[in-house]
Amino acid sequence: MEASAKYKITARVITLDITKISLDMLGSPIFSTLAGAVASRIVDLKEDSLRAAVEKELSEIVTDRGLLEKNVDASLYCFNVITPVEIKTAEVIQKGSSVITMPFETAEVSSPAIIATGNTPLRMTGNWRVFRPVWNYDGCTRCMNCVARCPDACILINEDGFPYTDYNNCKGCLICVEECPTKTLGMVREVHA
Amino acid sequence: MEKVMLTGNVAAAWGVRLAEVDFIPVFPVTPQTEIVETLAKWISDGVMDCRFVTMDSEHSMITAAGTASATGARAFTATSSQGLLDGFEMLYTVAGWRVPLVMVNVTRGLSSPITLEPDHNDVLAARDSGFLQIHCETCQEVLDSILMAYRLVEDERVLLPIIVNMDGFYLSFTREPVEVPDVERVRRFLPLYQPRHAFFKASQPMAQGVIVLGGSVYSYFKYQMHLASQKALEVYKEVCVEFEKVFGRNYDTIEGFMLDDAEYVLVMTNSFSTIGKAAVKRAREKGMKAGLLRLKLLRPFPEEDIKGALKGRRAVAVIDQNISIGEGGILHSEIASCLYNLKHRPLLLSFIGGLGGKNISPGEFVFIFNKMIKGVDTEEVERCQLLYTEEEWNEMAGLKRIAGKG
Repeated sequence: MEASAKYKITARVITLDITKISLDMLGSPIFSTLAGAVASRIVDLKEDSLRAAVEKELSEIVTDRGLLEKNVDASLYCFNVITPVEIKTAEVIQKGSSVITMPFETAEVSSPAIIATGNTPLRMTGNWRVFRPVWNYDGCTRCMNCVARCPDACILINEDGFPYTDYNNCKGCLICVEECPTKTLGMVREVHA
Repeated sequence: MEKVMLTGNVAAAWGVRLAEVDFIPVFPVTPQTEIVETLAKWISDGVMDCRFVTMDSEHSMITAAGTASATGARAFTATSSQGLLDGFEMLYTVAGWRVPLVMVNVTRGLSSPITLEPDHNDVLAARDSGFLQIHCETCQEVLDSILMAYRLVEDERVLLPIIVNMDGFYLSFTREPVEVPDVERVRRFLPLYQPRHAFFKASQPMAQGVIVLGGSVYSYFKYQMHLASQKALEVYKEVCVEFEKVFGRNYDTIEGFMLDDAEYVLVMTNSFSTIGKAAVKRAREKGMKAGLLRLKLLRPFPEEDIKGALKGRRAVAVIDQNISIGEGGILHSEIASCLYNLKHRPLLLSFIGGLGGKNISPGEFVFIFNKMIKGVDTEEVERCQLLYTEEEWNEMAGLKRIAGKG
């Protein structure tokens, strides 16, 4: 539902939490084979083809046989658990040509240069997170280790002197969680579209 | 024979491996690096017997490759875009040495602005250098063209270097089904390189690439390169016949798609020819006699084949995925020159599309076909058209706003 609303999708939405499956079955959120498995199911590839493909591709880069097997198992699990929906094919609508004649603009506009300052904040990398750090001020001693260790300067200080995360840009590296000496910084799975 | 899903880069690496190349100097550049990484792994694993050297720049790399070729070794290298231009003077030098080096170029739009996606300004910049040029539409064609390239340029009637060209991303990083022949079959097609004109032997010292003074002396050497390049047209046809005998796949200097009774013909090259063919199919469904001519061998320029394919058509639209700033489409000029003296020459239109990998949408193809029809009706042709859509212009407006411009 969140996906439909956020991205204005009118069609039916099927979801599968491959991040969770990857964490459960592989131990880390690396889900390229799982995503490939879902795609394989949707385009009606056979299970044997998927197995052969995962084995072939991974054997070239993964030396740990056990990890390779886990990937095969996780892929096949995703392949079988997803239920694609039949959609009715519609008529192809040809959009007309919208070709324009490009007007001339002087180099003040048309040179590949950026004049506006401070537009880096527009690029928000917070949607890269798998886990988000969460704060518990009861145990926090305000030692500022986390602030110092954050590689992206995403931990700020509130008016009470406690640290808090800029969730727009926190990439979820969890260095802060690891460095917290009182272990009061926790982490939760991000489950958003 | 079984087909495997390979990217264009890995298909290229297979072509080089099957050609049993002796020496590969390298320098990385997006989007070709996977070619030389794949070769490096095979050599390191011991499945490919070859000398592999990392150089400090493409300029050094092309020098090393050409020099190795001049000692009689079968050499290979690969580059793209900025890399090709970094070694640019050496292209002319190596070609002038008359050595059969095979180099793969993976296209990428030239800086500035910097980009990663493909267009053909890089490879076409080298069109005057003396390097032959084969342009590929599919990953299979890339592998096959490398094998054909060695056979072609090592022929004593040719002995010029060659670029085998493929589009970055659309071919280099896209998997397509490719038949990889076994090396025994390749050996039937591609004999050992045994030069009689350029080699390195203590018992037979020679000086290569000498200085000349005097215009007529210099001209002799350049004219001979041109004559050899033109000879390569006939040698290429022989190589194509041999290739089909051994591998069962048929290639020529050009490829015609729905061309037989076509009145309106698009001219394209490389991977975007595929979307051109799809546009031709859609136009045919609407009752238009459309066709597409894909140019494959660009140097030497197959003038007679192109004339034969285009004469008598109502209108021809050259879609250049390149631009000569201040003039227009490069291939358009070459085709215009080729058709100029034809008695029944078609109306010739010029379009620029696909720069930096810009998509050419179905709507833009409709625009092109409509311009061709209008041209035939009015007997007037507009100047070179720069393809761009309203949606793209609006997107650009948004980016300009963010950048603080306009």
